[in-house]
Amino acid sequence: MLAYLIRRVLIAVPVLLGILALAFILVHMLPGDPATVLLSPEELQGDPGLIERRRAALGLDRSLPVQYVAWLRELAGGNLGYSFHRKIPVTEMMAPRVAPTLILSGSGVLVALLIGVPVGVAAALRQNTKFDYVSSAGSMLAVSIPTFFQGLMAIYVFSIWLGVLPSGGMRTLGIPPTGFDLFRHLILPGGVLASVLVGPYVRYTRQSLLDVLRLDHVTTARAKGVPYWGVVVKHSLRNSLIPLTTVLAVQIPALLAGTVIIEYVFSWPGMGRLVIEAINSRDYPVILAVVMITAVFVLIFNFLADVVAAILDPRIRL
Amino acid sequence: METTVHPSAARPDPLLSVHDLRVDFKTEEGVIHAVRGVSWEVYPGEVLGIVGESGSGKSVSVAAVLGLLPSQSATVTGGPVLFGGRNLLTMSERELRKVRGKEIAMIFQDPMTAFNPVQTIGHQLSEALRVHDRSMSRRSAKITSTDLLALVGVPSPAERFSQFPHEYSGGMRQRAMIAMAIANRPKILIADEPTTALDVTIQAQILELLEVVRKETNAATILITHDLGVIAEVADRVLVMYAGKVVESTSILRLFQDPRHPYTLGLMGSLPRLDVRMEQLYSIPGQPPNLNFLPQGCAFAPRCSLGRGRSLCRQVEPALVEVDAQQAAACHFTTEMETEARAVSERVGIDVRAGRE
Amino acid sequence: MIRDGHEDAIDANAMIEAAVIAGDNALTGEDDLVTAGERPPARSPLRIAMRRFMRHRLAFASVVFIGLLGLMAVFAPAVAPADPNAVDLMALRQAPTSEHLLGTDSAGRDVLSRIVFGARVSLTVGIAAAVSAAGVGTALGLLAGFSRGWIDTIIMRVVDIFLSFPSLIVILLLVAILGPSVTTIVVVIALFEWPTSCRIVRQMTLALREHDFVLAARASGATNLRIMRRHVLSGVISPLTVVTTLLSAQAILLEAALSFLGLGVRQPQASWGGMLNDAQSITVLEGLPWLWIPPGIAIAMTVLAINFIGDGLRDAFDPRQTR
Repeated sequence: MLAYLIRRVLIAVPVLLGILALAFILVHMLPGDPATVLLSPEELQGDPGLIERRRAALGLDRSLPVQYVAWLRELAGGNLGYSFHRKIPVTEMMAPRVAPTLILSGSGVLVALLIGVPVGVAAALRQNTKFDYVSSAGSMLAVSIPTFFQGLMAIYVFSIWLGVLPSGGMRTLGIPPTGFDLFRHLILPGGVLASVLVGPYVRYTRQSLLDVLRLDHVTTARAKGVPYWGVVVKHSLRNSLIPLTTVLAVQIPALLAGTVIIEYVFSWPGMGRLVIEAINSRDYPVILAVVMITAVFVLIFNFLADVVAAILDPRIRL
Repeated sequence: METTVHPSAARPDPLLSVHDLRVDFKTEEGVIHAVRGVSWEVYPGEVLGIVGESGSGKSVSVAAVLGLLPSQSATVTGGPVLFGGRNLLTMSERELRKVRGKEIAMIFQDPMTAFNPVQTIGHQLSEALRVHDRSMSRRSAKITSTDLLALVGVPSPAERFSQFPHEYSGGMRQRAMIAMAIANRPKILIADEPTTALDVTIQAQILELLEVVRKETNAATILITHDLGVIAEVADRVLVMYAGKVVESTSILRLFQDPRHPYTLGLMGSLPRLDVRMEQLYSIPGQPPNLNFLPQGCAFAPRCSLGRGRSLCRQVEPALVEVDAQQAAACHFTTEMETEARAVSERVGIDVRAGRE
Repeated sequence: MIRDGHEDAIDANAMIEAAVIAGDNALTGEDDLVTAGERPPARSPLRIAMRRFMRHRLAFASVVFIGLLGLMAVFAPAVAPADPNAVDLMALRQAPTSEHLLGTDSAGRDVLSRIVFGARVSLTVGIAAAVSAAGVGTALGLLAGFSRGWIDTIIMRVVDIFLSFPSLIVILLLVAILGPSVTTIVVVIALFEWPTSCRIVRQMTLALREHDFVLAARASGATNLRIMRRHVLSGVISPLTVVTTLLSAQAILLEAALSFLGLGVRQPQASWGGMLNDAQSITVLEGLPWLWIPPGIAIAMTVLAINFIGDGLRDAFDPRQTR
């Protein structure tokens, strides 16, 4: 198993460098000169040689590969760059945004799993019944309605029409923050995120379980007298959850896309909203930092999925 | 090889008797009549061989007996299938579960896929014991399982207990499969092509092991195979199946000496023999019929050399008729088999029937 | 599923038996199944797939729906009751009336007409982005699958890199840099959606190149390029159709999201996502539901229909994915 995991890490390293290289290329596509962007107009006018000196100081006069390596070194030191807009380190801007995003995406994934996996299992066990058709049409519908439209509908129905839930933000202003208040604010965005995610979970669980139920060892288990739920839980579910862990990891970019739009629609003060704000104010370093962090997250989660698969599937423990 | 056949009068009551079992499969191409009314019995202590090409319905019929077919696509009708005075076909899933693995156990063809890859062999063996005896502790299940592994000839069973299927070789896996099947001392052991997926050298060992465990447990055995050679080695009685029906039912001796169905004869002609020189192997012309477009009349008629296109064969499907107490065949012209056998023998160079050369 | 082929003549039946025992009720239309019998007419895989697809009622209805939508988009000027960009300052934000069936927007433009014209943007982006993504993916997938070795490794690493990226954000970034237009959107979406099809094509190529007919073609001296064209491409075509269909649904959703965020096609050109952009103001959201609900439904129905078609195609081509 250790050898297997080391191999996975070794595969991930060039991918990581590739991701960073692509991000670096994007940095250089960006309009605006980093040498001037942190300076005020008065400084620029006062000293014509300043730009050249700034360029040299920032290393912008060196070749691209050298700059890439230097940039990597900065990254390793935790420097994700400076916000064009607010002239502060990007990390400083992002810090308060991390927790809200984790709360939102975590609860979305959790709810989607808690609904999606059982529904997928039930659909597989009752293949071709009304339940199966309805759940599959429902999950199809959930992935087909644009996220932002679901969000707007949710606000329209629950906040405007019924008036039972807040339409946005993370807490009610003017009252001290409580867990319950946060929960009330979380219901709509979290629910929409879960709805966006649940469709694929249902489909993957169903298909994966159906694939396993067809296998010979399931017949063996039945033939030796294992009760129905024993066959389903012990001999099918565990086997079918192995591919599902990979799906969870692979879906992180989709999860993030959902989070960005939902945070925007619901004014949720997380990283996603930060990205939209950054795009609107053309604050590219912030966007790039988020892109890189996500990509690295995807890599980490892919690796974790491999670990989980290795734990669940003894054939991988080589 | 034991070939004594109980004279029908003196036979004990059958352990399992199948009456007019029918299995249909719904597919997009129409309904496949996989089993079209078969009846047979298994008596205590005997080895019943069921032989036929793939698709003849031999595996499907035993899977139907244990209710192992997918209820989505398979429809089992006919019956009753009586075991211990109860009809297995009408039993609830809960009751049937208690029969499976406890009274009637199965050994599957492919030991590669028949075990759950993510559980240890020992766990799966213990489970077979514990699902039928809730009071059994993990520890005592482990002891029994290890003994079973030792019994079937798995070396260092204590270590092997905690290994996963992929750590076993094919032959070892089939041994473990047999250990699992006999774990609860079943009255009937069904072996579905138990040697087909194995190397030839290992096949012999597994057949030998089957014989050993049969003697040990005294279970009646149903051996399903497409290989007449395997049948010849272990079976007492034989059913020959073709296109979802039993076309011949006979004792092992009669099967080889005096086959009464042209299909049986054809199977024998295609069996290579080491004891006598053969000029060439015989092969049955044509292909097995398509089970959703069965011809009217005898299903074997299009490939039959005995029928020679006679209209009776094409119009009326022959019933399984007793030749005598030991033998029955489903052929309109079973009385002409003698001439037919000689004709085949001339082509092959020897008399394909055993003891007649 | 297929037992070892020592009995070639009866292999087809072996498959039935193996399949039914395994609980696989999808021994559907495998062509070999019917070769043994003389009676049933010979069927081409394509015909079987067609027949199976037609039986998928939702998918069939979806094809009709998308067909009609396409016609509506092409003949939009004839279909739309009014000029989608005609500003009528006398009729701002009107609720639906017999004159304006879906009311008017903040500039007095007819909402129904804008929806009719908006179909053009969605369908163009959907088709163009999916086809170009699938094209790039197929080319690279075939290359990777056929050359294997280091070319394969490099292509697959690039695929991994692209799949790790949060495509929505990068697409937002690129559109922001390059400036929004239909072309930019198509190019950028294609740039980040090709890896899926590349993976699938490569997988199919690797599987197919081990097939007997490809080996035979190789042995008889066919060049790689000819083998690719003759055999592999035909084998890859069915999964590729499914992927392209699903990609186009994806692309339509992405375009809608971009337009919703104000980074889509420029005003005044009508697009469904852009119409929803208005609903960001609470007045519109609360008081003028006819402005944003119809375009939302239009996107949802279009994407749903395409997804149903993709699903139907998948079932038709790959009976294993039983439904």
